[in-house]
Amino acid sequence: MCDSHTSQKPSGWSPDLDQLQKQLDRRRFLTRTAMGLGSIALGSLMGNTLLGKSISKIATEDASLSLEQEILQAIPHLVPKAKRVVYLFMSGGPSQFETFDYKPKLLDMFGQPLPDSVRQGQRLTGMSAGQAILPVVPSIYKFNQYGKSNTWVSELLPHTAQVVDELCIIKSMYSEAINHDPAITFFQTGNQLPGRPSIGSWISYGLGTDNQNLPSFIVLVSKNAVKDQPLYARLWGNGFLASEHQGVQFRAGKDPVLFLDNPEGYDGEDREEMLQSLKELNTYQNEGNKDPEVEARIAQYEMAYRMQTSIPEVMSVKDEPDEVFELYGPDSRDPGTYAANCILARKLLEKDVKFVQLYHQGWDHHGSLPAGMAKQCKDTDQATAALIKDLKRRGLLEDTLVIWGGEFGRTVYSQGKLFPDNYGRDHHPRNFAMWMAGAGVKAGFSYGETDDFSYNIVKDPVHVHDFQATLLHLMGIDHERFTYKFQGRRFRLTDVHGKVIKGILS
Amino acid sequence: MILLEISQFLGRLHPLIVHLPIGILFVILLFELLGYKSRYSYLREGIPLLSWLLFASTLFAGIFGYILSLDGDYPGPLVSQHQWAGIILCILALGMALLQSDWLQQKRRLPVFVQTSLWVVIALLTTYAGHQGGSLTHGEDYLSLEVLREQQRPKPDSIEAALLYEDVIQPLLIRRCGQCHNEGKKKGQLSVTNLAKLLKGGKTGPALVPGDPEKSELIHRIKLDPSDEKFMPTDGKTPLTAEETTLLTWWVKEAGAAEGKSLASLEVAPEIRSIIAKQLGMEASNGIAATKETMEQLNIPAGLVEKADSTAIQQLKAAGFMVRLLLREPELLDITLPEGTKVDWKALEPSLGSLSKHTIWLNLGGNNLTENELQVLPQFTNLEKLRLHNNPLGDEILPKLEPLQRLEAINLVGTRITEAGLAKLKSAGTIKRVYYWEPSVK
Repeated sequence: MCDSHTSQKPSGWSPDLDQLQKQLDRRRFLTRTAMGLGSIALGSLMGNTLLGKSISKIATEDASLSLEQEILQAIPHLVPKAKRVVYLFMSGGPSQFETFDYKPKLLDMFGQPLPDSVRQGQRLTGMSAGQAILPVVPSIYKFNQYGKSNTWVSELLPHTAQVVDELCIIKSMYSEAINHDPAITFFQTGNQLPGRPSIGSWISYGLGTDNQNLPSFIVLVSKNAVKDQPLYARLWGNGFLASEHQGVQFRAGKDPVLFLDNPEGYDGEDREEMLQSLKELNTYQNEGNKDPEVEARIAQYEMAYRMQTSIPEVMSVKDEPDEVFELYGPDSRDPGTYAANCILARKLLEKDVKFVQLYHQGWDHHGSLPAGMAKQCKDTDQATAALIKDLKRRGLLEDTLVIWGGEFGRTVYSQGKLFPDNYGRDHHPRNFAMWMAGAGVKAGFSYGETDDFSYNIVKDPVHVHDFQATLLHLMGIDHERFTYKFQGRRFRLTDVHGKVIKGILS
Repeated sequence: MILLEISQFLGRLHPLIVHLPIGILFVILLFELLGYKSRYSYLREGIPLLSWLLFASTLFAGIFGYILSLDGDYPGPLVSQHQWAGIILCILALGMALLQSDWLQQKRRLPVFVQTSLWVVIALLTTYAGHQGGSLTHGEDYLSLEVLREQQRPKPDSIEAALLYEDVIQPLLIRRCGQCHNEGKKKGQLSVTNLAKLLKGGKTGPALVPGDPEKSELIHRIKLDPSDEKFMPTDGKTPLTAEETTLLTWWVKEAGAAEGKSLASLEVAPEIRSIIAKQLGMEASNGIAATKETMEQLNIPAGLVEKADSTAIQQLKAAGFMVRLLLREPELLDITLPEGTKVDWKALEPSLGSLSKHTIWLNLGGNNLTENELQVLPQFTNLEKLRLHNNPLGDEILPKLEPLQRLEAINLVGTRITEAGLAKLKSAGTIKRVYYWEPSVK
């Protein structure tokens, strides 16, 4: 490989020139020369040595690189409240009507058309825009008040209702996207179009890792869910950040990470030595290329090696007492289910993994919502509540932030024909409910209000970017000062928006 | 009335029109010089036409300039100098145009180099007139080498260290009013460049009356209705923001419009402080300022040196500890000993001790620790969160926790603390959250 490399070198090639060409791209060349010449001209114009130093500095320094380091070195901007995050992403858009946003007045309006004064001409999806009437449908499920906070919770969530005094429910979330993929991408990366780093990647980039033996961003996708809407690996992708910050997805099943066991007949004794030599070869090769991807690959080889010992330990639930499985529910004994993933998440958090994200699909109930919601809640309710309880009793809720929510909410009107016991709901990004719990947020608290139709926000709206800003704030990062330069412009998780929701901070 | 407005409008076009003769003149010079090369000698043929154009544009620029001088608020001597330079240029341009005309060329032909030097003289005169014009528009000190050598006051490190007038008010006034009211331009004979000039004031009297914003002309003018003729800044320039107006009024009223006062010596209301912080560029987003003032509000232990001992941090890391920064100024630390890490506690005691005041979170869970290893614990008096879970620790550890007066949360899950010990812990001190639970073991 190396030979063919050398044979193709053009005449006049020298290692120095080659290096220079690789490190000086067009943009950097132009910036440097323009700035350099400009300041030299200015310096000679003034005829003094006042600027002498800075000229040579400009000419030799790689300004953009040092700025990047400066930004990283300013983190944390404030004392963090949360050390880790577990984000339970309910993919598909869970209905707020059958979960947390109690709207008793709708009971008297069953089947009546949604008043125009409420809809105000807002866009609908193509799926229900052609409907002759938009019949209002109340939740078929009953609500009760729970906890010291007297919070209304649907009967579908009996376990969550038990921990409601730990939750900070935001009923006034809103998003800009009305379809699944852009909406999830927006939530996870701050932009509706693919290509930006996800929240976990930003956090891994900004804060590094607290456990050298495990990735700082781990993703678990439930196997026991209706895969009605797809999930893509780019949702936990690193975008333009270095590859080692991408979320590492564990497989839903018995072996969350494959090929950790040594092959037959090999005891792994000289593994470390082998990897060391490989690293040397890679480093040697990369001296000419300076490709950050090679550096990321070196880091990942080493991480994989450390994971050979760390993963079996953290993944094994053999030592978990029966009481734990009883707490998380019957599914928890079946690896890859949502409940089993919740136990896994707790174990990863115990090991100080910084960002654990669970995905549970199947919340997209355009039709047969009553049955669908009942199934979804049954599959997730007990384990979700168990995770809160388990983290709490272990003292981990003290510095762990738990987040539960989907990408948007659902409409007050039924999509398709309305039956007394069956209906569907379309996408509704104008308001929906999600909750946080644990480090830094108020417990037993509800934030924001919607109108009687849960169609418009009437108090304390929270935009997706506000949520992201608050999340970073809780991790000790000021979202406006946390940028990364890519293709000539600076990027932020929150784009040019977002404000910290102070009302929910404890 | 309309006629007057038209003339005013035309007058204001002067700074635009003057660039026409300048451009034409440079083309003439270029053609003239290139004409020495035989290859380009044909260019000279264009010069007579260009000369006439030069004359015409100079004439127009002059007329517009005269109109502008009628209504403009410009210092007299400079205006008349500029005016005469313009008139001479106009005459010279006419002369040159005539010189190039066929009629005169036939009679008497000037040597080429004389013609060239005449153009150069005109160019020099144009430069002079142009510079004067610039000085009239932007002030005499606008384009001078002094600007380059001017010493900038270094940016203060904190709000407390800032001087109110020098660091905040003066830059604000110069930024917002200095374009017209500077040493060079002095519209209304007012200059805002220093405090003495402000107190002296301009045409309508002192701009500032210390302690009395009502009588201070400057404050009065910026607070008028923007449609008022006397409103400042005039001519549709961006008005001062409400915050800037508030700050200036406060400065005149409460701080006596004085210079040399540090902010530490003044009583500053929070809303004024936040305006000042913004002016100084010290405010971070959403009011989460990284300034020392807010740190106090964030309950940061007092009397800490900025930096934690870095060699001690290195030693701890080498021994297997995770040391994480929670804040940079002052440095606050989160120290974790990963589960099952064997460390030589005796040897590390000095390092732990030297970092004890900087550490606000400490996690020693799952390391088989007894009271013996934790001799250094009482030194961690700034701790807010302590995790001792899954260690064989009993009630004997409790006295070691007594000095930790800032402790808010303690994790004793899986230890041998007794009920009585827990009750004692909860009743004493500031601890708000005690986590205790006996995990069942399989």
